[in-house]
Amino acid sequence: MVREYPESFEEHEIGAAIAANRFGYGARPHELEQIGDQPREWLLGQMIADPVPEALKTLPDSRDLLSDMLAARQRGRTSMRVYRQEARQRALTEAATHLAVSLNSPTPFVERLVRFWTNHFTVSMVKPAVMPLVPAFEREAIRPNIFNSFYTMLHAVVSHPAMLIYLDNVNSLGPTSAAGRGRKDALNDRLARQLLEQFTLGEGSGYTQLDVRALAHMLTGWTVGVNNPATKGAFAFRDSWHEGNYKEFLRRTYPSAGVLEGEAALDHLARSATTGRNLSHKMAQAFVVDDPDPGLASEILAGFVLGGGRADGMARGLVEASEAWSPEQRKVKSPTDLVLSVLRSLDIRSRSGQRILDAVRFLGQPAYQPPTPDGWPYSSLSWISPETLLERIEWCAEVAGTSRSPEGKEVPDMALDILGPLLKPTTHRRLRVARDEAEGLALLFASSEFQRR
Amino acid sequence: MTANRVPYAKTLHPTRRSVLAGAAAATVVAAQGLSFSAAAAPGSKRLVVVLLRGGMDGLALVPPYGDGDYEKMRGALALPSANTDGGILDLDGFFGLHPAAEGLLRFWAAGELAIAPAAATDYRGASHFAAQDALETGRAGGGTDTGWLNRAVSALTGGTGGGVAVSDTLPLILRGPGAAQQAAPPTRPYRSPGFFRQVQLLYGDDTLFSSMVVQGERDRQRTTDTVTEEDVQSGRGADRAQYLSTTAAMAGKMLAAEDGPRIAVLQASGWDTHWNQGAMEGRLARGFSGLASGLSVLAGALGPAWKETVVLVVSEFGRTVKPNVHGGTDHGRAVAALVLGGAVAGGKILGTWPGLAEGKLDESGGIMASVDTRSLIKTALTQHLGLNGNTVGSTILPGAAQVPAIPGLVRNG
Repeated sequence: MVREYPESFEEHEIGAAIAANRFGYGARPHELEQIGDQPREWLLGQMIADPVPEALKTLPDSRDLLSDMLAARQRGRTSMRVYRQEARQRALTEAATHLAVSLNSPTPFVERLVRFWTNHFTVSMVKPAVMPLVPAFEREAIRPNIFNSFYTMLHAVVSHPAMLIYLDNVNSLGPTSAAGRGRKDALNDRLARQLLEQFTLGEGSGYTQLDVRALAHMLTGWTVGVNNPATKGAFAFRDSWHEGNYKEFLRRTYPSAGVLEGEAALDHLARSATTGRNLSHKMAQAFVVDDPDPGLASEILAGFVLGGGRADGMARGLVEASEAWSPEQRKVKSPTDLVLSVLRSLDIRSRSGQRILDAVRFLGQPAYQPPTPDGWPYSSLSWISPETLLERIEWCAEVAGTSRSPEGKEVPDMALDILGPLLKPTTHRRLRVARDEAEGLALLFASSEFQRR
Repeated sequence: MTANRVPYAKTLHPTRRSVLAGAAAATVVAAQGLSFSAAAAPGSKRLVVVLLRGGMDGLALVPPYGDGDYEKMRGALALPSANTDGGILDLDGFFGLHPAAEGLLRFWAAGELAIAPAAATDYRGASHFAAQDALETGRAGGGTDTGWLNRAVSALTGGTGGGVAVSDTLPLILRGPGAAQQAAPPTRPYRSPGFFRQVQLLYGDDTLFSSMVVQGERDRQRTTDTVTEEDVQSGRGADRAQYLSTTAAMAGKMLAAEDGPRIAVLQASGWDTHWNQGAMEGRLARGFSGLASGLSVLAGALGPAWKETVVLVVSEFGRTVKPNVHGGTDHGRAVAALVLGGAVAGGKILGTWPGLAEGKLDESGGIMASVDTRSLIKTALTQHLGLNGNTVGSTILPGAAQVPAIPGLVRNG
C-alpha cells in the first residue's frame, strides 16, 4: 500500500532533506530518518572524521609515481609511450576508486568538500606531463587539509609536484638568476597568475600585473627534484633558478630570502580578507546558488575569519548560514552529483567505481579532467542544454530499467524516503500512476526535485 | 525464423540490479533464462561480434595524427595532436585514440587490442542496408538470407552452446538454421513513445527544465537535406552506443557461464553522423565513450573467460575524410575495425595505411581499404574457433575464398 502524500511535514524534515541533498550526495534509504531533527549536527559531526579513508591510504605516493615517469623518460621515447598508456590506466583506476569512496562514504559532506577544494585548486589529467599524478594530488594535498588552516592547504597545493608541473612553474627561471640570465622567456608566471586570480584574492580584486610578476619572481626555483636522490620526484627549491632581488608585492617589500619569500607571500595571501571573500563566494556558489547574495557569503566569511583563516571554519560558516537552508532548490546537479545521488538512492555501493567513472565521462564531466585550469564551472546552466538534458534523462532511465527499488519499496514511497518534503505533491501523484517500476524510477530521477539540489 | 525468444522479462526481474553492478555482481543474469539443447559441453573459445550500425567515423576514433595530411583534410574535425593538452591519446607514434574512448587504452596497453584502421568488405556503395547486409552475410549483393555467424555456429562441432544476440530482434548475422537465440534487454523507459512528453509534463512550472526538454526533442528530429529515410533507419532498431554496457553485461555473463553460448552479437547505433558530430565533445564523442565502457563491461563480465575471447568491432562503412557543410561527415568506404580480447595478440596496427592525401582517397571521399573485413572474420573463425579453412571458404564465407586470414593475430593455447 503506497503511503499518501503527508498533509504536513515536521519542520526538521526539510532540514534533513536539505542536509542530505544540498550538502551531500543525496540520501540513501532511511538516511533522512537517521539525520532526524539534527541536520546541522549531522554535517558538523562529519568534520571530525579522517578525510583520508582507508581505501586511499595504501596507494603509491606522487614521489614514486614521478620517479617512475622520470625513469621512463630516460629510457627514451618508446618507453615513455608505453609508460604513459599504463600510467593513464593506473590514474583512471585510481580516479574510479575515489568516486567509489565518495559513493560509499558515510560522510558525504566531507566528500563534497574534497571535491570543492580539488576543483578550486584544479590540476587536470588533460595535460600529459601531469596526468599520472592528478588523483594522488587530491589525496596528498587536498584531503588531509580540508579541515586545516587555509595557509596549510595552500602551501601543500602550491608546493605539490602536480601543481608545479601543471602550471609550468617547474621550469620558471628568475630573469637575473644564475640559470636564467641572458635567456629569453625564462620566467613563467602561470602559477602566480592563477594563484591571485583563482586560488586567493580573485579576479578584479585590485592587484596589478606588477604583483603577478613579483609573485612569479618569488616562486622561481620552486620545482621538482630530478637528479638529486634526496628530492627526486618531490618538491625542490633551486637557489640558482631563483630571482634574487627584493620584490614589491601588494604594496609590501619582500627582501631576498630564497624559498621563504614564496612562503611569506602565500601566508600573506592566505590571511587576506579579500581571499576570504573570494573563497566564501565560491563556496556559496558551489553549494547553494549560482549568484549568492552578500549575506550568505559573509556568513561563510565569518567562519573563515573566526578561526584565523581556516578551511574548516568556512565549512562551519556554510552549515550555520541560514540562507544555505532555503527550501528552494536553486542549483542543478553536476554529472558527478547526479550519478552519485542516483546510485545512493538505490542503495548501491561500488568497489571499483568503474561504472561511475564511465557515467560521469559520458555525461560531460570526466573525472579529474576539467579542460582548463579554472576547473569545472559552478553555474547550473553549464551542465544542462537541450541536448545534454535529454542525454542525462536517458541515462537515468537506463539505470532505472536495470535497477530495483531498494527493499522492494513502491517508487512513490522511496521518493518520499530520499527527498522528504522536497518532493512535490504533483510528482508524487505522477509516480503513483507510473506504468511500472522502471518508468517510476525513471521519472523520479528525471524530476526537477531530483535533478536539482 | 529459427530463433527462440527468451522469456527475458521474467527471469531478469530479480537480478536487474546485477546488470548495473556489472562484473562485481556474482549473480548470473541471464543464464537461468537460457537453456540449450546441445548435449555436449561447449568449447571454451568465445567470439563476440559488435556491429556499429550507421557507418562509424573511424578517423575520429583512431585518428592518424602522424599523417601529414590529417589536420588539413579533417579541418574543424581534427583533434589536437597527441602530447598536447587534452589531445589525442597516443597509440604507436602515428595513430592515436579519441580521448573519449580512453577506456580502450587498457586493452591496447595490455596487448589485447589490434586495430585495422582501414577495413572494408567487398561492398562498394552508399546504402546502409546493403552495406550492413554485406557485412552480415559475408558477401555484397546478397544471394543468401542467412548470416555468416549463423553458418559458423552450424559448422562448429561438439556443441557450442549456440549463438545469442542481445537485442529486441535477431539480426541478420545470426539468422539461419544454426542454433541461435535472442535475449531481449530490460525495459528501457526512454524508448517508449511519448516518454519525454511525460517528463515534460512532470516538470510543470519548472520552465527551465520543461523548455529544454521540448527544445531537445525538436533538435533530435532535425535533419538536413542530405539525410535520407534510410539514414534515419540505419540503426535498425539497435540501441545507441551510449547504452552498450547494459547489453554487454548480459552477453558477457551468458558467455561466461559454463554451459552458456559461445557466440554473441551486440549492436550499437547512432554512428550516422551527417550533421554536427562534434570533435572533442558532442554526439560522436559520447558514442565513443559508450563503446569503450561497453567493451570494458563485456571484458569484466566475462571474467576468466576473457582470456578465451575474441571480439570483433565492425561497422558497415566509414565516412568521408573531409567534413561536410553541416559539421558532419557522409558515407565513405574503409573504417577502423577493432579486434580485441584476451585471446588476441594485439598492441598492433593491422594493414598498411592508405593515406589521406587528396589523390589517395576512395571515390566516395572516404579512406581506401587496406584490410578486407572478412579476413578479420576468417582469422577469428579459423585460428580462434578452430574451424577448418576449407569449410570457412566453402560454406561460411564463400564470397571471400581468396581473402587470407591474418597470421599471428590470435594467441593459441
